[in-house]
Amino acid sequence: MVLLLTSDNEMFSVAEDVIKRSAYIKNMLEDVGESDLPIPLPNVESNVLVKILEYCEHYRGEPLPASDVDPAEIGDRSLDIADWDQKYMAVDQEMLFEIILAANYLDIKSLLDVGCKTVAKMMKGKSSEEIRTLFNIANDFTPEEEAQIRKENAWAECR
Amino acid sequence: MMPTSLALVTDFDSVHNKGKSLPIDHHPIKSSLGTATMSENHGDLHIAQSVLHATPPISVLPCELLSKIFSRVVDQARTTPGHPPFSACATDLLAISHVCSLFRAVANDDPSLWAMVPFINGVSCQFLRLILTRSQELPLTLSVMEDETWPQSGQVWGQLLCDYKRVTSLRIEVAEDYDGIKAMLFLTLPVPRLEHCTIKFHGQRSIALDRFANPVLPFNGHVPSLRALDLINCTIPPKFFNFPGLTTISMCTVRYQSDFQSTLISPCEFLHWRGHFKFLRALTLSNSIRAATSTEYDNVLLHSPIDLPVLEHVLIDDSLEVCRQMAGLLHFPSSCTRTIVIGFPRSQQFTIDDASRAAEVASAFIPPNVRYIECDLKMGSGRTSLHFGRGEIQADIVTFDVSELKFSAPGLLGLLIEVLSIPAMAVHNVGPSDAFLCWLWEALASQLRGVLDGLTKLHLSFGEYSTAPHILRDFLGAMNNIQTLETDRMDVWNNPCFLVSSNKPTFPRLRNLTLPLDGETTPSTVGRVSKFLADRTEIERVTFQANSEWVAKMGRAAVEDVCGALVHITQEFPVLVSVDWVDRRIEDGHADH
Repeated sequence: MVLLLTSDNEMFSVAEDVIKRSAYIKNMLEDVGESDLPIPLPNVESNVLVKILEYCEHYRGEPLPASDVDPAEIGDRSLDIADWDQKYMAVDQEMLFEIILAANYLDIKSLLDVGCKTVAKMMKGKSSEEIRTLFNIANDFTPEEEAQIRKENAWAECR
Repeated sequence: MMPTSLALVTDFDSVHNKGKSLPIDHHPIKSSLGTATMSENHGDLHIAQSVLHATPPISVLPCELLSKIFSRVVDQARTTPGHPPFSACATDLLAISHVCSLFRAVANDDPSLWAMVPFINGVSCQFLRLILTRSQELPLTLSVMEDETWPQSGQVWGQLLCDYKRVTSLRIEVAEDYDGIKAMLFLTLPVPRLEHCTIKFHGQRSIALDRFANPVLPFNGHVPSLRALDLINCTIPPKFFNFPGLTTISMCTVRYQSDFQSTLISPCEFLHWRGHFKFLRALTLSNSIRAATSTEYDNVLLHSPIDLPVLEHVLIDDSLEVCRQMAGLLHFPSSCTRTIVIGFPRSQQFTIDDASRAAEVASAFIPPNVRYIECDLKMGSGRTSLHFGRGEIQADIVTFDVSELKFSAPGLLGLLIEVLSIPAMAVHNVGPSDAFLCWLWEALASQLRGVLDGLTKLHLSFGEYSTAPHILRDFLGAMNNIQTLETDRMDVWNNPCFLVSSNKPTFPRLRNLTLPLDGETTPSTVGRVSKFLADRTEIERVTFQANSEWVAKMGRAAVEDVCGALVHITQEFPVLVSVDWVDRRIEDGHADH
């Protein structure tokens, strides 16, 4: 078992084959060897780690991808997401982005890819105004930038 | 320069990122709830809930992750039918760059995003210039489609040609009602950095791209970097393949259209490939070849086969005759995995001799010096396939597609098949193709005897009413050393003829069975297995592969619950048979009977 200490001081005891989906932890275990000391995860809160472990547990036993391979670089260019992954990602935005951050920090490429695809699907085919509304972002462009954007929109609409 | 990281929230109004900030919409609740109400998407409801937060949740993402997300928006394979127009990716990227100053900085400062979206259909010169400028000097992915939006403006062409030397990936499509003459202009231009090229003609047609002649070769004979060529509903004759660095070739055409014969490639033409393609790793030929006449093919056989020394995977999907000719023409290394689909086009009448010939062709694609240990036999409607496992994920696969087969046996035999075809006359609905397959698999058993003898594991997949037990009888009988039989559905065991044939002495002497396990598995569903085990006392072990989702639903007590269920399910099993279970994915945990 591997001990993990989250940023909010929660301790998790996790089976090694589960958490080895994280290349960061896997490399650390290989470098440090067996140890009773917990691995600190200062960038991951306990509620996010619970969610990350749910993913790792689900894919437990499946072959680990090469740690340096990005799924997008090996030909998976579609935005299709497996059913289970879609359900897994049906969380509020705060958790969604925390999962992406944690997957990036822990170097779980498949999870990072699913997270990025989920957000990309949300953006796909939407206007800038719709994306602002979706993600609660205000328009902070200066009048000069607004003028340039209007020009670019006109170019895009011009045939 | 692109900002590299986004700091955590420091105040209520903005998230700073090296001078760039992600602003908050101060009136988010109304607009977002509106979005949720309108949307049927479950995910959007969560989104609406999340806007109650004071700062945009997306603000936690650093720029490199935003950039990764944006690239996912614009970098999509466009091979699916009904894909959006080529302009969609560029329009999406432009919309992203118009959201806020941070998104704009991330998008505009990442030239790789803009390099993925150039298109020419219906584009204005200014928009194309904007895309090309923002892509800086990076290699371009260019998409063109011959349709009603084909550009007429000389300025657009001028703009494109200025940067055409940067194109490394080119996708040319021709809409259904267009002849492709305009689009094929792209095939006459040299593209020195081109690495990937896809040419697709929409519709049910096959076009020969053969209007080349020395010295005017495809791409003017100057595509030294071309690595992958993907032709859909079109062919380029092998004599014009002046692409020595190719690692991937794919030519796919609509299946068995006799009208297309003149546009397809003759096996004789492949002789031009001799000595080329020392780097070819993947070859796909799907219905893009026409069978040579016997005289032509005899001439081909005067030459030695075309050696593809580093080929890793080949897929040939074509008629029996084409597959036969290609088996004699191409030579692959034994390490090359093969996927062969042998078809029987409805334009021909097939005989018993053709069944033997199909078996010969199939076995010609199975390398004799590879040691296989597993075999997977599948029988579905119109298709039957044979997988020989090489390792964990690699397999050689031969599929017989009899969906269009026209077969009639002569004399009394034909009459017998017709009688058996009457539903009331047989346990199964036997058709002419079943009789054909019987002969085919019998011949295959004889051809592959050496390979079958070395197999230790067999996976069977067919339906409760399938004729597979009859069709595969001789083939299974030739597997003398099979120790494990795996079935992932109970249909096989519910097939009455399988139980009869499995009790015959010719059936493999098994040691282990693997069966599916889920909430539907009961003592009655495994009743026939119990009877089989009672008759086959040499079987030592039954392993249940538990459905992972079913196991997961049991929560922490899963191991105890599954063990309890197994004791109940296997109560009729002989006591000497050991019972295990594994999670289909985890392969962990066990219970002794």
